[in-house]
Formats: sequence, structure tokens, C-alpha cells
Amino acid sequence: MFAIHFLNIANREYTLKILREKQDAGYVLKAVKAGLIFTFEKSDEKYDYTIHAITGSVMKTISKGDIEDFNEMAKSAGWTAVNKGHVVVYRKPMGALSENIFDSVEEEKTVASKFVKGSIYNLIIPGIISIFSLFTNSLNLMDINTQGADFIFHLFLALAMLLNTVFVSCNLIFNWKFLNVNKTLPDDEIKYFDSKNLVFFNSILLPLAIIFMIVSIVALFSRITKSEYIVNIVLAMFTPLVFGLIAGSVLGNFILTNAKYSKKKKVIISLLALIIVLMMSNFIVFSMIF
Amino acid sequence: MAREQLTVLTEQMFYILLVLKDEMYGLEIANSVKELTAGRITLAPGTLYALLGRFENDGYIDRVYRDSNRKVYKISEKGEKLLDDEVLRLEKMLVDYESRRS
Repeated sequence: MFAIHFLNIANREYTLKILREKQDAGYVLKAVKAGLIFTFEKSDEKYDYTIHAITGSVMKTISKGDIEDFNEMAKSAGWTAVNKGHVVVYRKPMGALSENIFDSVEEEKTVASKFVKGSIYNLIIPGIISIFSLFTNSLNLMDINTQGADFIFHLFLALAMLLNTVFVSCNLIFNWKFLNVNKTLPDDEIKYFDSKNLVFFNSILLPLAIIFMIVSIVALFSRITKSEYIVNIVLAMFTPLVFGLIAGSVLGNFILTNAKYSKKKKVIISLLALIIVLMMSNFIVFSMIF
Repeated sequence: MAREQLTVLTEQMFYILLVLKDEMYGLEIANSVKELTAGRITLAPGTLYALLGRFENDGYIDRVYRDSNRKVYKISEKGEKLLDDEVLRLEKMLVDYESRRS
């Protein structure tokens, strides 16, 4: 099974909470792909997890060899890396002896704060581009001459940019909050957040924005080749798929692996979700095509 | 705001600079320090890479290029001076200690 969840160091505590809940439901983390897709496998093994930013800067590149080195050192300290990247999830068998990834909280805080600061700079440019693109595409949508594949292209691009703007904004606010809260704490204290809302937004907005972008590219292709039926086919195929993926991810994250729900409740919730997803996707497909 | 210049080194800082008289990358540095101190000092990966970043920014170590996928470092002249100053400081402390004890 998988869950879509944007790996963010500032929101570390909530990510760890998700991993613990999945473990209680019998799933262990297998891999994290592209910092976004968490895959799980059924297992009776129990692990302790931790998450760290391994470099103080997202602006500077860290080589693949350096990441491998870092993770090898972490392994000798008892922690096995689940993914490779600037932010890494580590795990060790529950209760096994280990050393810390950082020698002191002060160092951990310095690295995490620098990383978050770098993330803010990295988010500003995509944010500005998204707002600009949202504005220009919205203007195009208002034009009465925008029809057919043109309309779909601008509509989906505007939607993608809107979602991306919200995604960037909530991450900017959250990262800024992380820096401000930690600035007021003593040097040897660090606070990571456990915002459920941020996880929810990040799990939905970014994947949806990416899919909308793909649809808009297909529409652009259709506009160039003057064959609008391509868009209709793609819409008919994509929309249920998109909603299915989102529903699957949300269910995976918040319901199915939550130990407090009984089996009967899980089946009812899944069926209800499936019906809603099918109704919504069909409605969208028909209203777009006809 | 300019970063505060280092005047006193922690044990980890001292040994990282010391082993970097030879060209090394991260893991080699950690192993070398462990070997040199007979396991007394082990460097946590987060700490090592954070210090390497700081040393490089402050000019105490230089990045050298070897045909590998890793960043390889070597102590710079400025780093050598810092290390020498630290040794002088420690020697002076030892002299002060001996003079008080006798």
C-alpha cells in the first residue's frame, strides 16, 4: 500500500505519528519515493523511526556519494536510511541500541533551521510563477473566444497553478513559523510540528496540481494538433483515476490503517468513499465533455 | 551579520582539522578520527557534515577534486593556522596547570 505525503522536516512529528499509526496497523515503511510517495508493506517487525535534514542547505547540491556516506555513517550509529535525499527517514529495530545522528540538539537545530530557511527561498520563485500564471490563465478563461481545447488548457493550468499557490503558501507560512518558534527557544531545544492540516493539504494539493498540469499539457498538444477528441479521451480516463488515487491516499492515510476503526467501519467508510468518488468523477467527465 | 570567527576548537573540530592534513571525504574523516583516538571520539554524521560545511564556508578547509562522486576536503593555510593556535593554547594551559600543581 502507499500514501502520498510531502516529506517536510518542519512537520516531522506528524510524519512520525503517521508511521507509528501504520505500524500499529501492521504496516512498516518500505520506501519514500521522490520525497512524496510513502510505500508500506505488511510486516510483524517493529521499528523506531527518526527524520533528519542531513544538510544545512537545499541551495547547495549534495552529491550522491555524500548522501551514501552520510547514510553509511548513520548505519554504523544504528540507523538505516529508508530513502536518499536532503531529508531522510531513518529506522532501527524497536528498542535496539543506537547513537544520535547529531552530537547535540544545538547542531541539529542549526542544520534544520538552515535547511528550512533554504526551503523558503526555494519556494518563493515557484510561488511567484504560480501566481503570475494563475492570473494570466484566469484572464484567458474570461475571454469569450477561449473555447474547446483552449478552454480546457487554460482551465486545468489555472487549477494547477491555484493548487500550487496554496501548496507553496501553506508551506511558506509553516516553515516561517518553524523558524520563528525555534528562534525563541533556548539553543539546546528544538520544536518540530505535528500539523495534521498541513499534511492533508500537502498530500492532496501537490499531486493534484501535477495531474492537472499533465491534463493541461495534453490539451495543449490537442490544440496544436487540432484533435480535440484526445482531450475528451484523456479526461474520461484521467478524472476517475485522479479521484481514485486521491481517495486511496486519503483513506490509506487517515482511515484504513488507523487502529481505532473496526473492520466493519472501515468497509462502510471505504464503500461510501468509493461511491462519492465515482459520482464526482462521472459528473466532472460528463460536464467537461458534453 | 558576519559569522563569529573560531578561537577555541571542540574536540571534534580539532580532530577533523587534524586528519584533513591528508585529502579525505566524509566517511574517511570519521573512520580516521575514530582510529586516531582509538574509538574515544566518534563523529555523528550530522555533526561531521555540519562542521565540514562551516569549515568550508569560513575557509578553514578547501574542497579538492578527486575522480569520485564525493566531496573531498583538505585543510587550508587558514585552517593550519587555527590548528596551530589551538595547540599553542592547549600547551599554555598545560604549562599553567603544571606551574600551579608543582
